[in-house]
Amino acid sequence: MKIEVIKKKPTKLQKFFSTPLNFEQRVEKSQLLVMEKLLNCMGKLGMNRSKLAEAMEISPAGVTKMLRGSNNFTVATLVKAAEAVDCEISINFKPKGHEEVWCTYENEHVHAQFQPNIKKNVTRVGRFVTHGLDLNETPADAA
Amino acid sequence: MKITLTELHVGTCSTVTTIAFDEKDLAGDFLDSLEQSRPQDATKFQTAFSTICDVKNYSNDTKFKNLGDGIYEVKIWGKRLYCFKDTSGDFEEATGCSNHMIMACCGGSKNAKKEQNRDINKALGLKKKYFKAKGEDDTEFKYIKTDDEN
Repeated sequence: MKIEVIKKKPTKLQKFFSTPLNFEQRVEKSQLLVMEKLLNCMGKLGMNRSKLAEAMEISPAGVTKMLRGSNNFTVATLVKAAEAVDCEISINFKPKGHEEVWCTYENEHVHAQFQPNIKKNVTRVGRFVTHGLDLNETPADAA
Repeated sequence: MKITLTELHVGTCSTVTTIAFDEKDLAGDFLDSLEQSRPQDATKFQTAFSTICDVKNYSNDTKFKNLGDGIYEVKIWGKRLYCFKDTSGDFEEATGCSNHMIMACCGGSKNAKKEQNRDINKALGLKKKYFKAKGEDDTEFKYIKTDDEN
């Protein structure tokens, strides 16, 4: 398959879609990204929307509104949502333009060197640790 | 046949383009007229593209719904944009990134079920046409990239 790539002055439509998002759009996008994380957690638990609404003590319409990104939810709502999917909320502010990678793991699977506050011979079954890794951080910085 | 892809948004995981068959770009025309008549709705599509393209396998079906048979709809209030994906990686060399391609093929209003079904069938037809054309030797592919330096 041969593809001819043409670089030319953007059309009006391309210009429109390449404009940086304004504040309201950035808020909506952030809400949608939070909802995506919530949906992933729901998926892992096999939880549907009506069950989430029940657990959060809100109406199913309220859940739909949240998922649409049109609801400016409070931190309290976020905590409720996290607890409804058996999670704790964790928020990170990352410097603009940085990438981030998150992984969730059990303490017992972490090398002792990386868990200085954990006493030897103590097994913490079921305790999860979330670790944020800054890709721009060198191993030396991390140490 | 000539197939022209016009790049609209490049995210971290996917790229959105409109697709034109022999210069006929239904999604481009739909978004163009929306941008002129209801820019606030076009803005909503822009936010949706930006979100969908930054997540691998975006699953929120209140924004991006899998309608089956490989057709997806980008949903905003009262409007629908129909798309299909090409995850083959055939555009990697041309575009310089390994993003999945989301090709917007047509759009319409969410008025009556009959109208929506017509649009969905149209999208399905265009998807079939695209994948058939990909296998043919005489198909000309053009990828229109925005060049900000111009």
